[in-house]
Amino acid sequence: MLDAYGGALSTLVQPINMLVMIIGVLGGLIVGVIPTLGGMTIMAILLPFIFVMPSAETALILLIAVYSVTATGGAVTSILVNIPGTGVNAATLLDGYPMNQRGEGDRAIGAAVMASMAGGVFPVFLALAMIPLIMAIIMAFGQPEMAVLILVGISFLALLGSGSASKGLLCGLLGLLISLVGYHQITGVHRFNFENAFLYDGFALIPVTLGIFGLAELFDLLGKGKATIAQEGSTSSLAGVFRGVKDVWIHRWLWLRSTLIGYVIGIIPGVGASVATWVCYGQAKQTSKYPEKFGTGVVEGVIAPEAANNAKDAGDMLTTMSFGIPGSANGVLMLAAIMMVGIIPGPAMITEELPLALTLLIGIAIANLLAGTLTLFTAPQLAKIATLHIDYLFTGVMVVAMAGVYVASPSPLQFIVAFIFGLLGLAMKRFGYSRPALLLGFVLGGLFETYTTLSIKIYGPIFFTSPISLSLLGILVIMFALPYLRRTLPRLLRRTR
Amino acid sequence: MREKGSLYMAIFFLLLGVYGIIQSIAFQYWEAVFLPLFFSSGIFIMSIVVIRQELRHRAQTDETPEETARAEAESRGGTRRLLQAIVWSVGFAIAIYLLGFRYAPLLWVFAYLKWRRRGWLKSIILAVAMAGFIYFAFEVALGFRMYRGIFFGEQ
Repeated sequence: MLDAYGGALSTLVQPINMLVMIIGVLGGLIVGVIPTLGGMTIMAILLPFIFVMPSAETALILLIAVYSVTATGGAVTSILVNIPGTGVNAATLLDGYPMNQRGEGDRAIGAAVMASMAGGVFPVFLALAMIPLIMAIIMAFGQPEMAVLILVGISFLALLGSGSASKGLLCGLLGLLISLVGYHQITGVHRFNFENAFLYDGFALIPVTLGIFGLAELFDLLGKGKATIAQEGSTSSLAGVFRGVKDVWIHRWLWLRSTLIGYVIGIIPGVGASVATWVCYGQAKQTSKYPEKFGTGVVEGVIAPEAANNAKDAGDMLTTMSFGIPGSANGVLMLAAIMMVGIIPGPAMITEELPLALTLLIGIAIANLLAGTLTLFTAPQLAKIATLHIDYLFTGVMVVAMAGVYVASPSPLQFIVAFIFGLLGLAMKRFGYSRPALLLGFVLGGLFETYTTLSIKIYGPIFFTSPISLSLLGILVIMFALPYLRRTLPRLLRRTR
Repeated sequence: MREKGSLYMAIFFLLLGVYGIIQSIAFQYWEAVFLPLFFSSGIFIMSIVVIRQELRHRAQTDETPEETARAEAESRGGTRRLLQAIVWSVGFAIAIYLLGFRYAPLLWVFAYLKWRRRGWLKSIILAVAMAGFIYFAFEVALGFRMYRGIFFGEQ
């Protein structure tokens, strides 16, 4: 175990990895600041760069840096411009923007950034402490349990994610079906490839991901027809920023509660950071001596959600790496990235690739420290990025995205795949269908088929009879039944009375 | 408007499910059949659930004719802008196919910005910067041979 820690730290301090970490942090902050672009878009655009990086570790460090810090950048836009930089910063603007209007924007930024930074670092220690426990649990997972776990993970993302549960499930199933396109390795049968040689190996991950998240966001942005995403915000002073930093210390128990809640919610597959931030905002209001002031610009309303949205990252990554089941949409892209470098997330990653797993967890802490320090001193300048004209954004992102598609799968035909999935992603976004559920199904479909087929061959068609499988299936049944029970139980109780 | 689009998408997924079921049954071995059949059937069933929800939701929403007309007008403007973006994006893909990554970004970025009535200087600077970024980042720094385009000898 100690060797693994040594390996992780020596990987992180290599100059190339530190440089990549800084680039990732800067990129993540800039993208976080630009509303509607979001962490998913930039991560999808960066995925192809994995193939041209000197090592798998370097590639994943770049992505983990972006993954960890977009919410920190998003807080700046929420407070200064009244538009959440990323979806998880929505709760921050309820009190952050009124503080800014009152002339305390700098204080709100200080509090948000400090809560985010500390909230991103502390849970990493919790995750590192939990690894021995996780190792003991996952050693009990064989192929049948992994097959059931994948099914449960996709269902969780579909049922608990934003939007309709039935649409989420439909998208998860669609992703699973799309993953089966092409040559079936066990039997040699060609499935759903329209006798087209281009589809013999199925759809490549990068064009699909870039289309669904990158291109779809760009099309959506241009369709809205705005010249710039946000108007310029106010300026801030360093003294005010440090007053906000001090506020986090004054409300340290609130910060700790929010961080722990965020971390625990991050561990639960499919729930995501948005839930964590609203739960923490709610508990901050409930436990406050002056709940009626929430929404008018109280600093606790900024500290609680900002601590939570960064705290969930360590928990999310722990579940993603240990069980291969991500906790959020960004986690799905991290999962895809880990699989692209040839590592299967799950028991093998925590046992055989432990140094890499630790590198990524410690990377979250370092990225948060870098991002926090940088944002404290440059918040007003960062906020100006949100006022960038959409034409420049569109051309810049489009050129890099297309280059990325080609680098990942060197065939001009992949552009067509990216555009088709871009249009599908746009329609899904506009009509409330879950894109993360589709991508998770697509990413895990191949693994699910391998685990299921092997399980059936070894244990027979009823392979899910182990206590772990049955417990997981029990959780799944409860998850499905819960909305129905919530509707019908009160009615039944009323009748019996 | 949103309900209508959602309904059409659910119908599209329903047809996809039917296609998946028909195709799956024709595969030769059970290993190749059972998951595609299972997922396609799931898509078929869930599409029906979503269609039912959408139809019920539509029946409950009482949008006034003015609201419907306003939403449709906004949607027409959005669709036009969206189509323009898609046409420009497809144009870029065709430009890459013909001219490769050395010249397509240069020409496309410049043409798009000029079409959007941005200034000459800004358009030229951004076009050169993007083409330079692709060349130096991918070909020089990362050592990756980018596509040259069929006009420049790429097969």
